[in-house]
Amino acid sequence: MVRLASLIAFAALLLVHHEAAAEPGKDSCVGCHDDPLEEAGADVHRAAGLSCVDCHGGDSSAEEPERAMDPRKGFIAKPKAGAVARLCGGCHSDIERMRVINPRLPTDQLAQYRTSQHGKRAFEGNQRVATCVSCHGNHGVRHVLDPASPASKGRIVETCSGCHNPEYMKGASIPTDQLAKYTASVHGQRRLKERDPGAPACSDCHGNHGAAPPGVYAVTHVCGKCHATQAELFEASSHGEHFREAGVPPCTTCHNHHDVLATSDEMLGTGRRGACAMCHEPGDRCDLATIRMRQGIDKLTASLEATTASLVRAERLGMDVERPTYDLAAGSEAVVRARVAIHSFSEPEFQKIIAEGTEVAREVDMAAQAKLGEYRYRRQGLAIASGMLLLFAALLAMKARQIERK
Amino acid sequence: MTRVAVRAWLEERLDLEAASHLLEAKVVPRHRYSVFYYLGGMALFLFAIQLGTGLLLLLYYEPGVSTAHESVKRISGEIPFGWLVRSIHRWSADIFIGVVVLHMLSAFLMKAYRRPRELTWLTGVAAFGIALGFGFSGYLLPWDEIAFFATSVGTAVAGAVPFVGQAMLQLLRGGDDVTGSTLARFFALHVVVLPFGALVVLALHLLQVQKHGMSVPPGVEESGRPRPFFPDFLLRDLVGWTLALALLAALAALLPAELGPKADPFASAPAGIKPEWYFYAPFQQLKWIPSYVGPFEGEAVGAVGFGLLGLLLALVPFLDRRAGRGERSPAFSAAGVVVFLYLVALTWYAWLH
Repeated sequence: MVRLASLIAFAALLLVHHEAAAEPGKDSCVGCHDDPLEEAGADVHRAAGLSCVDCHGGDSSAEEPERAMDPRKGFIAKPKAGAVARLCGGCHSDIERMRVINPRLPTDQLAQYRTSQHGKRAFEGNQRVATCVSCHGNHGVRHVLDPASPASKGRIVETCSGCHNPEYMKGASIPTDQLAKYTASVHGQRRLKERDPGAPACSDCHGNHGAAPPGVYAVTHVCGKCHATQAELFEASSHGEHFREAGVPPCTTCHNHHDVLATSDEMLGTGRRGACAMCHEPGDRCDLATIRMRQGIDKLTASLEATTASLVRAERLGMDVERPTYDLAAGSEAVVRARVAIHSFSEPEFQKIIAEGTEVAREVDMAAQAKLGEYRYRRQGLAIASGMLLLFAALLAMKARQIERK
Repeated sequence: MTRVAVRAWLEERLDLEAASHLLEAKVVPRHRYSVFYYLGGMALFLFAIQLGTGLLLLLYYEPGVSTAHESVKRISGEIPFGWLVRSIHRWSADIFIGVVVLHMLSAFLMKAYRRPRELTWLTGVAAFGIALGFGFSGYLLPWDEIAFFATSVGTAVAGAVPFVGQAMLQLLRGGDDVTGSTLARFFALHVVVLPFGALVVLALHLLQVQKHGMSVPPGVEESGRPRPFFPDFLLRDLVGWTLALALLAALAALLPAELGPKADPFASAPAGIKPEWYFYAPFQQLKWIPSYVGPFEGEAVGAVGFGLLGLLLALVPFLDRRAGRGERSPAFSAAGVVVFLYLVALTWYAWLH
């Protein structure tokens, strides 16, 4: 009897425990709504154990819709722009919480967002402005390193231009031709056409959570993230000082910003495509300097091309030109260095590099000519040796016949 | 007076008179196939070229993973006439193997292996094996990409031989993979073991030739009195050797030996790995053999098959009993020609693909 009572008590305990354990996991939302996360396929929040109520509030354990979606229990069907940022930031700015979930994630997104043009407008009540979900998605949020994420580097141009286009931005006071200009730019061509993951996209210059146009004085730093030497030389140059004093943005004044076009040596000077013509007059002291610089770089590239042609010819003739070809790389490097040195606006520095490159081209050309000379020497040697050997063979044959006849 | 004194001094020590008599007595039979007698001398001349150019290359070649490729590059690009010596060594090796093959084929068809010249044939087969060993070991020495992977494949075939394969593989490679140890072994093999073996085998071969003279094929009538070896035959030999030298010089100048990128054991194998042309036949045959032939691995079957072919080649004098009795044996010759043509066809196919 005692044993039976114990058994019934144990079974009851198990049932109670089961009920108690089942309660927190109960999610009445998906009883009525199609599970949006199921449709999205993957979601970092679900993987972290979050459910509908963690973002939308309400009571997922309640069966009745009125109780489940009771605003008094914090239910929000669709948060407004500023609320979205606060909602996401509730977790993502919570350092202690994020340390547990993913300690590698930054926690300053909300703080940055507040400083961005998007954030400022969102908190002013603009509902058309980008919030967290505009770039990351709402249901089916993926990690930014996941190529399928709209915020990933591969898709960010597409995501930004989803809003920054003439149609969506109709009536706004900001330009809407960024995508067209970027697509035609050297950065856009690399990024969109050649699929170069290293080429900059929107967020590389504007930032992401703190997205804003770089100010006049920040341009050098933004471009200098990749073009460090040019930025450093420019900042230290006389032009850097003049630009700062005049409040003119560096880099973009000559190279543009969204439509950064491929550079060429023609940009040097006051010619038709010369970047200097914006400020300098043809024939002034600086223009004359650029003419000399242009002559230097043109001469160097021409001699490097001629030397390369000689090396190619020697190689085609079967000569070993590996060493001079390797040496010639220093000449090509000098051209690149000279083009970079233009940003120092110092003619002596520039001409020094041109002189180094010219010396390399001269030495390699001598080596190439020596190889071509050696080829001619081998041919002549072959002709002489073959002639002598054939003559010797003929004499031997004659001698053999002579002996045979005896 | 001085000349006579020197001659007398040498005569006392070297018995030059006897050598001179030997040379005067040596004759070469004349018949419609006697042109093939020049092949042996040509092979010997090319071997001498190999020894000479090899010695010159040894002055600058530095074995070792970090030095081999660099030193070959230096030989080809910087050392005066290094390109010429290396190219002649390379071309001469190819032509040498070709001439040895033709020499063996002519000896086979002219039944030159029949009694009492069995040892001449056996030493000839051994010399052929050594020549192939020279080619296989020399191929790796520049330590370039193709050589590295071709040696990996080649030694793997040796590893497929049943029972002793793994031991052979370890012995050849000096470990599980082709590494610097393999290069050291192949270098030692190429410049010490094989040359020594070749000199011994060639000495025995020439001794046999000297003892038994040139063989006249059965059923072939001699046309006139035999030709004295010295100076008649040797002069004709010299004509051939001079022409061969001219050919080698032309090939070296017009098609110098190439050197691929340095071997990188961690890189993936490049497309189109092929061994030297004289290994094309087994290479192609192994490609055609399925992975398994009955219960046996295809590679093992191929390796054993070619091993048996080599054994059959060595045993030719003992298998062709009719020729041993001085009778004609056209069926045996036909069988040999069929095998030879099959090997030529395999080589040709591998060359084209």
